[in-house]
Amino acid sequence: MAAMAQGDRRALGRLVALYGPGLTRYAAQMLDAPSEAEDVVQEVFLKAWRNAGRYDPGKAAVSTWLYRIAVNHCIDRSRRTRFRRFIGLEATDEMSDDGPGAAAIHESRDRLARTRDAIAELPDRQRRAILLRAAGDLSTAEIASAMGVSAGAVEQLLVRARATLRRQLDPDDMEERRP
Amino acid sequence: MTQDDAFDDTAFDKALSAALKEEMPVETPPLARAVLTRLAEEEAHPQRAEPLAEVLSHPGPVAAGYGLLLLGAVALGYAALPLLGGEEMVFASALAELLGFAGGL
Repeated sequence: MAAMAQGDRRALGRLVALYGPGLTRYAAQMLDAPSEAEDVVQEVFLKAWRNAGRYDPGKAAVSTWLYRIAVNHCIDRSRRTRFRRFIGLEATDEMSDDGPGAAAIHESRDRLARTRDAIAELPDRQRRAILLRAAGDLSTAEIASAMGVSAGAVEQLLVRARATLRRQLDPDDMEERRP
Repeated sequence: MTQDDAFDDTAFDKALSAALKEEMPVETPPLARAVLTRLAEEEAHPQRAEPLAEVLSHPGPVAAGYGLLLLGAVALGYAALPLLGGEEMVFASALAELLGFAGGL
């Protein structure tokens, strides 16, 4: 962050390489329009670049700081998307991107779609907490800091989110991915 | 929470993380290029105007401007009342127009 504050663009590139994938996955699951995830993540990094000088390592880890920006951006973007849909500027459903090999990967896709749907049906705060854990790999304390709530509240949100997901997802699907 | 529960939760979170990675593999070089390109564009055009969709999705300032215009029109109409034949004349004219619009007398 210090290098970024000095205007070092390679430092920004390294930050994107480190946190870009997790932030993109988080945004894709949180946004009403997942296709906007990359755009939101770009904005997160641009904001981090502009505010690098104000980053205080004593207050939060870089990951927490970035995810806090992402949490706020996703909330803001979803509000805008809902408003655009309300006034008819944006279609409600996104087009699916079935390619020529789509049939061959249908089964895998169905399984992923079930996971995605189950996550999408979680209440906002539970979804935010479980995604910060799964996509961002943040600890409970870091999630609490990113969401602006207590660690105890995060634990509660995680417990409820896991319980709902366990009920809705096929145990075999999750079992296959166990480490 | 028992140790088994904690392990189960950790395993569950890891399985979920793997599912998300499988669903959405992200390549970082294009993302980094996109961020750096946007940064260069912003620095080249710092005063870039917001697209129409952004303006419409932030209706506050536009609505405030529209409200000011309406207030201006009301003030102008009130000031011009004597020129239009007085308040009764304008009221009768507005009423006639309203009744005419509704089907006429």
